[in-house]
Amino acid sequence: MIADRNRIYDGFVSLEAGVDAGRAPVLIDPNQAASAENITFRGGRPNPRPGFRQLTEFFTNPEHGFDSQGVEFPEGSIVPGNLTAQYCYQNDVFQTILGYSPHNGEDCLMALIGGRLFKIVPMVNSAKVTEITVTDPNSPYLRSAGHPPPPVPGTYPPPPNDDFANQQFLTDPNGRVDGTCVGATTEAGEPPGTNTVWYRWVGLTTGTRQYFSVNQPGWTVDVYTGAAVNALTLVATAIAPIQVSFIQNAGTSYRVRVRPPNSGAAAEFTLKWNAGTPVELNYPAPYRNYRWSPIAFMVQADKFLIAQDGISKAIIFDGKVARRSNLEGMPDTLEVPTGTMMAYGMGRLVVVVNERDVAFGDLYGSHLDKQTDPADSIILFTERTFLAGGFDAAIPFQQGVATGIQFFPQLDTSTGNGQLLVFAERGAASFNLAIDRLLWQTSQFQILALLTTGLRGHRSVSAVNEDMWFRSDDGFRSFRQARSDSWGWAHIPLSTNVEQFINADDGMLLKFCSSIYFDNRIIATCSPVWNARTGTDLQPSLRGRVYHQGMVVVDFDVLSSFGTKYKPTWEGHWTIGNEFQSSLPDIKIAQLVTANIEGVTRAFAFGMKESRDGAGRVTYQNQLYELSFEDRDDFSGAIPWEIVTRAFDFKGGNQGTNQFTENELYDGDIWISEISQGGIAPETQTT
Amino acid sequence: MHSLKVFFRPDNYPSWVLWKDFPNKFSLIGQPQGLQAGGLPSARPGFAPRVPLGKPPNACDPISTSRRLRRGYHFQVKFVGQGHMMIEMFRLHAQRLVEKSRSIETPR
Repeated sequence: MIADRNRIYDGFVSLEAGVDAGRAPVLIDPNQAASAENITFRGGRPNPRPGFRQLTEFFTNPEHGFDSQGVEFPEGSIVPGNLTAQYCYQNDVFQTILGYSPHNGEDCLMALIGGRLFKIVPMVNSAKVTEITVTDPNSPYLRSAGHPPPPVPGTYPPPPNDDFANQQFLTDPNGRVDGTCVGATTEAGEPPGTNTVWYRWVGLTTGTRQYFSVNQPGWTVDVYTGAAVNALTLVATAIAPIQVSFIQNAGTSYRVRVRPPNSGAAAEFTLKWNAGTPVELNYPAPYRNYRWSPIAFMVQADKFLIAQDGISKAIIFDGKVARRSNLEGMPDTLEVPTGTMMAYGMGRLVVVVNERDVAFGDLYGSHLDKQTDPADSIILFTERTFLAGGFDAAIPFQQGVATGIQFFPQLDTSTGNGQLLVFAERGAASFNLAIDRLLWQTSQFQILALLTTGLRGHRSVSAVNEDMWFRSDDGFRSFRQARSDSWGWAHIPLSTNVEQFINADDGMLLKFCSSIYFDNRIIATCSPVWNARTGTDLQPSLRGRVYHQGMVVVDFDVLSSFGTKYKPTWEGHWTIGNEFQSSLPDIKIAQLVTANIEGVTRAFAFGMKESRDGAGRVTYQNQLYELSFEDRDDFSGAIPWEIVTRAFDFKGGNQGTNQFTENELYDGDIWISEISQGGIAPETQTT
Repeated sequence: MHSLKVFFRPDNYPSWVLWKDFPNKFSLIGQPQGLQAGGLPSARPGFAPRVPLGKPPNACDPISTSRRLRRGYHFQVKFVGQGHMMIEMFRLHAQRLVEKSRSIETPR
């Protein structure tokens, strides 16, 4: 399914143009045919590109869900269709994905989609998806306690307040009452609903808002006025846990009806009401992150997976239980601060907060005897009140906001004299962490390591062969090349060969770029598309999110011959959509990611799959794909590709040094090898 | 079967000129998906050494310069293919022309 568009070889290594440097110049009659010395390029030995395979997801808790406020429904309760785990995974806005290897657990991918945390265990042709509940003892969301057990099957008499005429009177401005819908009926003339029971409450203070709620999620509380069951006027209605509220009139009788979503759900319940403020419920409820953030960040710090979207409290997952970061209490209980990009190295978790501040966690926490596992100290952020007497590190204003953060081996001083690099829009800062804690407190930790070649995509960093490649404003750059190659034109991006595919990229969307190192290639996304439409005519998975139309690829195999050192070669532009050839399926890539699954490095692309219904309408669903070695010949058609050479000018060699010689092209030869199965024509394969 | 098209253009000419088309020219050695004793695949990667492209067409640029397009000072080549193959080597043959001391003015 991967199409190659414009592999461009311009004489770096793989396809050398000009006179073959290994031969002595041969003088021949300039009017004779030029010999093989004239123009030759030699193909490198690039590996076949990996194939692309769709992994079929299956869900272990597909019905798990959250309500429209982001509060979790209890397991086993009824969830409106759009809020189930499976629906969210397939249709909500993708935010981030990361490979995660917990201690004593399954290697997996972790993803934030629609503000919800998913664990994805890739198999051979499928993937097991589980939604993980993130607990939070300090949740701002409350849920009433307890869910009465369903009644034993049988016939039950109707409750006393089954009929409108037998409404139960509620007298206080605030209060609670226990009730049941078991055995309740629907009266003739009553507004639609099953197993309904009735209450009556009289307004006390004109102008005050009155709240009602029931402790059964998915149940409805209706408030009416009117004296007869067939002549009611609806005042307000809401499905729990959303509270129904209305402005009361003193002396008005309000008829409060409680009903389950269907007769099979009839059970006992507790109705609460309150004047002025919402009903106070008893339980903290888990909640999901903000649903519409188009980007979020993850990192694995020792045994933990940390997820951030810059808005919600950080999620800390240890492979079994996910919880929110504890930001309450004394400094020694201060955990991962809310932020965005993160890096983990040298026993420290580092978080970018407030766009340009850098907060450090520290192994110092392990001395506090509060942890049973020393790894637990990694998520303690003791440094926030330690550096310079109580501050985070801050990158200089002139560098702009932070755009990426990465631990990188300290190779030489050209890459800065620290191990942590924090990139910004217009430069990078280097932090030396290998110093004593007391020195660290007062260290001059900021060293400007790089100017003017700003990194744009935190996810775009790929550390390869003593260097870091990343997406910058104007293309792809390598950190060491920019730093070390000071005698040359270091500020030319390395990606000029593929500039036609990346120069038009929207600068605002570069932070969504991701890259992976896989199969001795750097594969990076390009051509991002932002769909800012929030109208209801568009399905949720397409609203307000970013996807990529292609990938640009650097191939290191082309040049890797023993004993020589050449520069890598851009392999060109890969597409997996129908941009290149209309017969290919339309697949849009959100993020590339690698993961070590059971000891095997596997590469994945999380994206969207196009499908069409019978009427030809297009829908997209989130879908996990794998780039795999086994699928090199991965679709039933031949892989399309293009190569564009640089311009040959016939200079040198037998033509002297004058490059301005006019020539008449009269022949060419090409040597081809490795003609392999990727190119079986569809008709051949189906017969 | 694999296909290959070769295009060229001289001196930044904005369009590509089709030089040679090899429809379904290149293939594996053996039968794809065919098995031999022991279930081993019988197909081997194919090869095609020194495939000549032949003389380029006598196309000309009719609009701006009226030049024959296989004459030029530098040439660029584009390969468009279907199916996995590796281009090992490639070379162009050209005949050096004796230039006049002054160019002919580009017709308007």
